[in-house]
Amino acid sequence: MKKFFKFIFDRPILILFIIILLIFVPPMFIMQPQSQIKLIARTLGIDKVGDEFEVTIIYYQPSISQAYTESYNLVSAKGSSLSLALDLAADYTGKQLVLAHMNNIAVSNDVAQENLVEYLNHLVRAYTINNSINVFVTNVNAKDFLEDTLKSHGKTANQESGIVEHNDRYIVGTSSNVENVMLSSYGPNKTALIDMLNVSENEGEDLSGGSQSNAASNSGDGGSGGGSGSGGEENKPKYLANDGSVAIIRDGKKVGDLTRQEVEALNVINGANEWPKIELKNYSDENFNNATIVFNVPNKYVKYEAYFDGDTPTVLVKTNMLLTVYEVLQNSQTQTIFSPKNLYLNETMQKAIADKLKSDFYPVYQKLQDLNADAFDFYSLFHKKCQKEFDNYLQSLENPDEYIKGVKVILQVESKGK
Amino acid sequence: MKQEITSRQFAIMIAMSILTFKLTYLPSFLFDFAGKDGFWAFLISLFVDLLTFFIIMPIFLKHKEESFSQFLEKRIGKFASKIVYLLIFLFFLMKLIYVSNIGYFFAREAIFQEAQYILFLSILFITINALFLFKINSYARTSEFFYLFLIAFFFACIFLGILTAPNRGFFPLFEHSASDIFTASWKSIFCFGDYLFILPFMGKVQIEKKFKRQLVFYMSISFILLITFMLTFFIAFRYTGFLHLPAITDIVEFVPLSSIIENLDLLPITLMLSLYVFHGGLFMFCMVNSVKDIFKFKHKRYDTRWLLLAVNLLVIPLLLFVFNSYDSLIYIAQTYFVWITAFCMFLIPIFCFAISFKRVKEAQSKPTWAVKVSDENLKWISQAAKFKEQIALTKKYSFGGQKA
Repeated sequence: MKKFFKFIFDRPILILFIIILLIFVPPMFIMQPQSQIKLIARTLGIDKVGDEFEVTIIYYQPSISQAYTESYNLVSAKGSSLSLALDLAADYTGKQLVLAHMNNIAVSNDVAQENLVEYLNHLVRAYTINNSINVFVTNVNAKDFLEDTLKSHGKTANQESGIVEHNDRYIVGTSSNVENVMLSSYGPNKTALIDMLNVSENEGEDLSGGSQSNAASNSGDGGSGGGSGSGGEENKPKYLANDGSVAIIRDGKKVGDLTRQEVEALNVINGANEWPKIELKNYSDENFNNATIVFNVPNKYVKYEAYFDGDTPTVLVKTNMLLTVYEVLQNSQTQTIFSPKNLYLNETMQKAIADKLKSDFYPVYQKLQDLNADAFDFYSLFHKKCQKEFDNYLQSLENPDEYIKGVKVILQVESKGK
Repeated sequence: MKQEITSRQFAIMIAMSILTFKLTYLPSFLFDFAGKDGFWAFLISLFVDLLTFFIIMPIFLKHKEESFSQFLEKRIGKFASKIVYLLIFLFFLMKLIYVSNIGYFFAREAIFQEAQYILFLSILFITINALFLFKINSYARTSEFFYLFLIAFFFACIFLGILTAPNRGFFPLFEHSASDIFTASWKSIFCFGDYLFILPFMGKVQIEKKFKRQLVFYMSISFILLITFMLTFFIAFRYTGFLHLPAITDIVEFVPLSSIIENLDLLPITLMLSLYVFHGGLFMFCMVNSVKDIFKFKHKRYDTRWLLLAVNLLVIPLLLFVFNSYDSLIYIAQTYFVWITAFCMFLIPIFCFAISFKRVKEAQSKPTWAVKVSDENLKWISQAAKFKEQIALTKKYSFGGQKA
């Protein structure tokens, strides 16, 4: 015993270590597992009801199961601010809210039109979330959207992430996340494109399919009742329509939106996405007769040149595409159009494609100019290439924020392929 | 002088000291003052910091057989040396406070959201005290062992950031004024100046022939990774740098694997917590040695463990009751710490460099009274011997000048 004490006192750091162990280790044995005390939020929905914020949280619910399944549940609450509403929602479940595992934020159209940056202020300040979290705008209340999707996506509750990331890569070409929403306020172009996910009654992914999840909603304080949406609409099928439309966020607020067709029309100058398809209608040449031809774009290269044409800032966009014929809709299906030996992309077709792309692009670009939305960050392009002239141009404007209205875009489209 | 650390270990310690303060909150500090041009402010601070290194290193190499206390005391005397020790103590006290405080806030935001300050401090201080108590060669070996892992983690963070973080471009090169850039550099100077720890290590390192080559090699790795990291941050968060306080963690947040992003956070978290521990230990060593050089007591029960305890009793209450808020710490750091850092990181090396040219006479030992008595005896004996010779000569010529 004497040797033991001598050993300890010769090493005073051990005494301190033992004290620390005695203080902190015993409480460990009476601590509950974190899965029982933490509300692990995976998706957050934000709505505005009158003057109050309504938050809807899809959270992970640990459950004992022999099959490898994940279980999710939903809770919503209202509060005078986002942080208070989140606290209340967590209190309803008797757990502490954890946002660190959150993947998606759904905001309703009304919220997006007010001020998205202001609404996300708490989430950014809390520093517990990544700015890479997906943000999307819904055409219905975020709460209804999440209730509807939970039925179908309850297994992972992360399906929206996959959809948004798919859109970012293949359709829009920009990330629809918190970082870009912040850039719409703090970036130089003050514009961001945020995905829109809609619930439709006509087409899309069927949301009425069941899953192992429990779609019961625990809401309170005057919020809507539990269950999946209002009683009268329960029988109508609902579909998740990810049609590729995007919301235009300008200075933190939604100022308009672009349909799928309009987004595709902008793809001619968008080098960031993997362009799906180009459709050429009523095309005739030596190989085709009044055909609708769908092209695949395996490769696309877009180059920007910014210069001043007199006093007019001009962007020359050179787009080179490699195309392959994917589908031909023609009354008379001939062997010619199936033959792999034929090179269809002749000069006539190239010109038709270029004309088509230009005619699609300019009306949409005009729409962006009317909304004062510099979706492709021409500001940074001019700032980098012609800083002095651009600064002079900005100073010459009555309202420098409306610089995009004077920016001219010239397209040069070249395509090759077969 | 017992040389306990190999040259490779010391080179690694210097290379690691470059990293700690610069990977979490420094980039957003720089962004606050100079936006994207905070990168240039960082380069300026790095260059200035390197200048102090080139002032300290010749002193270190030239006087490799002397300890820092011996070096100072021989040239400026004991009293003036104590003033220098005190300044070094204050400097590393400030650094340790910053490491502890920032480390807690980083750990809390990254993992332990509800962890108490006292829990973090107890873990940190147990570890850094243990690093001190196990002697400096153990610390050096530990640093050497973990160096490869930490560099690999750092490289992985940067690599993931380069691949996945958004590219907002870096041109035009200068968007802010020189005044903004230099202000950013000045306000963040408290994150630099770590080379000062080389001075207390004088005489403790075995300087081998390849020391300089090793130093260049390891420091180059640190500089390249650090500059790449900074560039990645300022390109990725060109307009939103102020939103990304823990830079090293936010660099990897854009990895598009949302199901495993939480696991990837382990890379920067492991890296930073390890660096905080290593540097906490280093600063503790420098502080305790400074105190030891200030208070030199000769008592059989007096050893450095009591000084370690005293330093802990000073630092921990300061952390708990004075520097317990991140905002107040940053304010104090940018208002007051910058002056202390600038004063210490420039003046102490320059002063040491100046006095290193002073010629030092090897002090002769003062004779004790016993030595004095025997010296007197010897003096008489030698005089007597001379007298005896004189007598013999006289005797030779005493009888009429004829030779005897």
